[in-house]
Amino acid sequence: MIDSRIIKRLQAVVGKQYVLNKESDLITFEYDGSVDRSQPTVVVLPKSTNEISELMKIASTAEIAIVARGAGTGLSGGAIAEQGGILLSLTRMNQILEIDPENQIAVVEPGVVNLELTQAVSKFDLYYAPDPSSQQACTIGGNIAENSGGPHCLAYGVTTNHVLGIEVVDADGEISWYGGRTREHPGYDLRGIMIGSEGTLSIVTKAILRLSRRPESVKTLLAIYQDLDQASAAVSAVISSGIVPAAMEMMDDLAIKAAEPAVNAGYPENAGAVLLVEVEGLAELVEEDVADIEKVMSKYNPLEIRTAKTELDRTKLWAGRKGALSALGRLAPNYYLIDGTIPPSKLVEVMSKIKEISAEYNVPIANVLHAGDGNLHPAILFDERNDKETKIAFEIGGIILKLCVDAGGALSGEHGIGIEKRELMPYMFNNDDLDSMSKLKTVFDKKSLLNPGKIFPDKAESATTTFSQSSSVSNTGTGAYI
Amino acid sequence: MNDINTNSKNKVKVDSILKGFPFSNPPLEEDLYKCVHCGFCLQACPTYVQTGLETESPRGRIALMKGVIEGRLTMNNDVIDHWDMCIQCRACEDVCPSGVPYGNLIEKTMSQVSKSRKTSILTKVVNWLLLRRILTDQIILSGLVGTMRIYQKTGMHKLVSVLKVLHLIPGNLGSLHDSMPRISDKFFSADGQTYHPFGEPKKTVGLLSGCIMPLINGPEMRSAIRVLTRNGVKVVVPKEQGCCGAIHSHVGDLVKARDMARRNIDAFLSKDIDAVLSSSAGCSTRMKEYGELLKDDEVYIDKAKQLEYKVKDINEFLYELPIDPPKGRLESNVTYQDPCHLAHTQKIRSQPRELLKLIPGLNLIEMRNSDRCCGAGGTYVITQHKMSLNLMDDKMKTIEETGAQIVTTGNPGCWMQMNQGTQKTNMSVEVKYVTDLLDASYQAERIQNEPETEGTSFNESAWEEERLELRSQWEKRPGDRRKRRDR
Amino acid sequence: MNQTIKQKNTADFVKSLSQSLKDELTSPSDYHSIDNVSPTIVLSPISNEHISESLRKASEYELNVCPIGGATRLAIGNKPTQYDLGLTLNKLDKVIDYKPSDLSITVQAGITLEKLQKQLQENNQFLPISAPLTQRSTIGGILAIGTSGSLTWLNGTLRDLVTGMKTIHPDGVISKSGGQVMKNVSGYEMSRLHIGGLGTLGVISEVSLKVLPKPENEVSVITTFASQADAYNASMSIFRSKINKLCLSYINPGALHHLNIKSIKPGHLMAVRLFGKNLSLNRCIDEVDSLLKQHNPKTVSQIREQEQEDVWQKVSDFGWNSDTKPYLSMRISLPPNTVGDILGSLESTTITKGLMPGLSTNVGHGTILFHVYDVSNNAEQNKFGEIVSDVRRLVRQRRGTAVIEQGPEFIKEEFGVWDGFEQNQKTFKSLKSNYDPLNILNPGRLL
Repeated sequence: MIDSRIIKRLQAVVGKQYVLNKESDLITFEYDGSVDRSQPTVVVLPKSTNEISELMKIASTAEIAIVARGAGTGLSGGAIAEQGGILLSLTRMNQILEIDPENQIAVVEPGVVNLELTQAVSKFDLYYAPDPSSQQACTIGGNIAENSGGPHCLAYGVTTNHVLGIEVVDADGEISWYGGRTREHPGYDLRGIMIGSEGTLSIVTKAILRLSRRPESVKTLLAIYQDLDQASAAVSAVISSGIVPAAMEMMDDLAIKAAEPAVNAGYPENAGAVLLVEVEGLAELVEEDVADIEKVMSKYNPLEIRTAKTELDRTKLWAGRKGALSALGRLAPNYYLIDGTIPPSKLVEVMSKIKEISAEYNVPIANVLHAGDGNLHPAILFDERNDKETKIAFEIGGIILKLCVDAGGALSGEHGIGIEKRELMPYMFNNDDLDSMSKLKTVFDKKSLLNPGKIFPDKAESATTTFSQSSSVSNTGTGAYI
Repeated sequence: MNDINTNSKNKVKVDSILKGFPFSNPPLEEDLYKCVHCGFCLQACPTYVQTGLETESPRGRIALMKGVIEGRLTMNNDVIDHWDMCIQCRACEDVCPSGVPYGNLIEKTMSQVSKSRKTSILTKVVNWLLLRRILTDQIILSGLVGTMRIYQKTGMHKLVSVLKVLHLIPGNLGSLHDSMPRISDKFFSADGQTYHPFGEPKKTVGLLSGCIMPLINGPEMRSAIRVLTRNGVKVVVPKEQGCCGAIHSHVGDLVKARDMARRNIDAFLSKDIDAVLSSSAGCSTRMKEYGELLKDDEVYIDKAKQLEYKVKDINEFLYELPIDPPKGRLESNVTYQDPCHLAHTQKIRSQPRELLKLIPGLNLIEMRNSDRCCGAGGTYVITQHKMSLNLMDDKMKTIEETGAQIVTTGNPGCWMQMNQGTQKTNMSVEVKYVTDLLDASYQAERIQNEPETEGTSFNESAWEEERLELRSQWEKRPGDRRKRRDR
Repeated sequence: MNQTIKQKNTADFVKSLSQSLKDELTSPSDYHSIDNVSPTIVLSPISNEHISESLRKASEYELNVCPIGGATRLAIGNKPTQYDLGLTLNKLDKVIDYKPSDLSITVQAGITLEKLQKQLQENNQFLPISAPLTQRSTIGGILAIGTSGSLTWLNGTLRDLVTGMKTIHPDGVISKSGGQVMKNVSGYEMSRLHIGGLGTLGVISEVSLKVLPKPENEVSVITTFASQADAYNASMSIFRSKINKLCLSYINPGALHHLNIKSIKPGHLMAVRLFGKNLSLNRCIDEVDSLLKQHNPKTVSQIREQEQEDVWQKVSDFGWNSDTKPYLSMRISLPPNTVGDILGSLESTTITKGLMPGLSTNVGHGTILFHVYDVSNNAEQNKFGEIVSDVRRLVRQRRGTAVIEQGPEFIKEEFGVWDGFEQNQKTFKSLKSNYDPLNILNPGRLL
């Protein structure tokens, strides 16, 4: 139960209508885009940094957990109030405070939607480069928390490469700026340490973002291969040939099957894999690169290579890729999405192992990947109403992630560790590594009130806990993994 | 730690008692669970964009439906409020990669709501009168609206506004007075009449006249007919037709909606026509989904599918025809507002724009979020007046940004809403249908008297003839009125 | 601490070392001294375990440690409050893992930039990092300082290139974060604390870096102008254009004089390094040409191959080799659009005091290297203080920072070398006390 005096104090800060604790409200704040669910005790929607500072002071004194939430599109349970407490929904802080086209920066509040920023600055021939697949809905604050990537980060880098400064409120309610309007800032990179910290260190309340100049020309190629190995080999070959495309995306047969009816992108349904390659830049360079890429990709026996002729074609080719994951809803009621990263040179090896696992367990796995940078997105299909299927899906998830780490990769490329992968952290990092990270947490959040329990494995459970038995996914009953 | 944290109950548990919606034909579980809550729908949803609240988003509303189905929530007013807030623009469906049939889900949910809603007798009576009697009977409706016309014409309307006696009326109804739509000087009515093109007709179409549109958009409907006949299309307006039923299903009265559907199916299928057209996006959407509405009606299901196949939005039809490019210049900046029921449900986006681009001199400027709902949405203006106004304000802002003199659209709801917006904001923007501008351009052809160019089939005397026939149709009307009453 | 105790501790420390580490003991020289303070002993570990042992035992015997890379820029930072043990990493200079098609390389921190680039060059790749004196500068040292050179990746910073790091804590614990893949959100990015951390929280021992394919063709256009305005405006117009550029610098006559590049005539210099394939490079050259024409250039020339490499290396070395060493040097970071109007003020405040300003600017990045040369060698000392105050005032007005990179001790002491993190001082201190509770690493140099 919640202390009504605390509710009153929260209401005094943000206004009564922005403190929600009816059952019907809480039920809509118990999920994000991932499989976990847990209800916050109360949802608070602040409008300003000062309000957040006041809220933090209340929470800190009463020792109540605070979990920040953007649009709730995250895929690792980062915005889920697992231990209850206050869910800080930042959607009302959605103002673009300043656009400075000369310095190519924008100052924004955390609730600004990624794509809306790009739309707002497009009149200056600028855009915000990180483009997660959920960019139409996800917020900058969430992007910063998860250090989000997107297809084009192959060439342009992830969120951290595009954030110059942030205003944060720490667990004691203190407001500070880390970094600023300049490209460089002396001393420890506090800005950098916050980005990707999944809301466990501070709440980001403003951000100064670096904007990029729109490329002069964009060309998109679609290469269709009979099997995944050829497509994977083509990826490595393109990069070895000295070209870094803006994006290099791959989808396997199952993903194609799901996406095609949803978006009619024109992907052939009998293909084993399609490779989507985008080249951007100076018109002449794009022409030259496209010619070279075609040459390289042809060596791997493509069934067909297409070039998007119009902007509409291009949008369609991309729509297939961007909507592929969610379109999996057409194949199975649920999917469990893995976000492991591997060195691209291991693509053929790891992808064939994933296929083997799929066959061995007789569980369909659809693959959508940012192939250029080795960020895999295997989606394990299952029906959450079937307990056995669910259990197996999670077991396979753990196996695949271990495969990624064994190949020299990482547990998460862009979704974060959150709830779902924390028990696997010891597989990638030893105790010393993890201790060093936990020390950082104590610098910013001594009482462990900010997004408690995320990223780090539960100390009470042994490091050998298997992934499928992780506390986050057991005992949740039907309908919990949607 | 405070006890607020050690709340182990936060782990979601599902109570298996008291599961589900109370009445038959609830939203289907398998449709609900297609939603993987990815959140792609959020920014498409006008009420989410306005409030930033998950509860006012499609994903949130689906979560509430799941909550009820799973027995974690009862269908109380807290829950219903959020469903009520849904404007049913179905913009979310358009962006949903999982193919969640949201329109169908909310329609079925609203049907559950309307059956369970505890409403005052007065509201029940008003609803019954409005939905079951007035909207279904064009004669009563036109009589009523005719009275309103007199009210507006005589200056009473202004007087009442100025005297501010409206706050005496409870609820939203007072403020609604000011948003009363402008009523056409000339009504349109479905009398079984036929409009002939010059020469042998290329196609024959049936026109859905609708309930509100003939009363507020008489002149606009005539424009649309002129554009059709100008392009060799014969237009029949069956007398037996009625309201499409959209408003009924919007508020959850599916029984009446089905009645209306059956009536229209009979009216149009009995005619020898190539297509059934509507100038109202809401109506064509409803008619294109008669099959889903009547899927349990063994007698009508096949006929419903047959009709669905013939239904076209007028812009869609004209674009596919294709029309003769009009030659009269219209020097103006024009923007286009996508009606939800064209863009999201029928995926008709490019056709109206392409039609506009045919008009010489016309400069089409895109507005931001052209496909975000303007806040009209059937009875939404009444039931969610405040939200409706907020959405309208946003829409007016984006129209103003374009600097256009004319905003075009394809639905009477949008037309009324934006007209009200221009009045409220004193903007000098005209609200038009796409067909209005096509008609104006065709008319300007004559006035400008451009030298005849090759390939145009325009014939002055045919045009005159057409006009005469149209006029004769209207002139017949006053005499007809008494006869219709006798019916 | 009492000097005799310190001596005893040092002796005990040495005695306690394992034999293999004892073998790596060296005697201190000028090479290891920081602001004229020399360490008592120097160790050159050959493994991570060696570093770990050195640090663990230094903690035990309360010795203060300064990690040293190529010792090229030890002048950066405040004077150490205590300096007993120099830890040079030159022997840790191996490439640990490199697969060209992964666009990633993992190296030991002691590898020199030159050696690293050579290895990459063999596979037609490169690291978009430039630093002074590449034959000596080590990756670990470059990262600990954390500032970017004239070469930047997509106008970003050094930090953008690091994907993973292994560091050794003062208590000897070895920990890693990140990894070899470019996209990675698995735990905190601990490397961020060490890049620019000046070795105050731990010793960087291994680094994974993102590398890029070497462009097919490169050419640099070297242009001189009669006026600063012309030169700067020309460089801004090139910055704003969409042509492919790797480096873009404006260099003032004072700096150009010291750079002493024979082929370049005196004046205001704008240099841009272009890249591309055949058609695209030609397009870039043409476009630069037409942009330059609008700004009254005096001389325009193109350089390629080795000549090009040499010129850019000289620009990178500026201020750090013996020819160009200034009396005072500040590194200024600004919002890019304020750079133009500050350049003149920086020059005039120096010239009015009878000194010579040398300015080298990474255009568009907003970085200015501001060097003051005492040509006559007899300027009054207080003049330098006035310059520092003037510069900091000008920079603060424009929301930038001005760090003193080199200067006489009295200036460093009076003004403090760092600028811009006053507000974060509390957090910095808390980080320091968490990771180096005994304050044995580089005491006083950053905090």
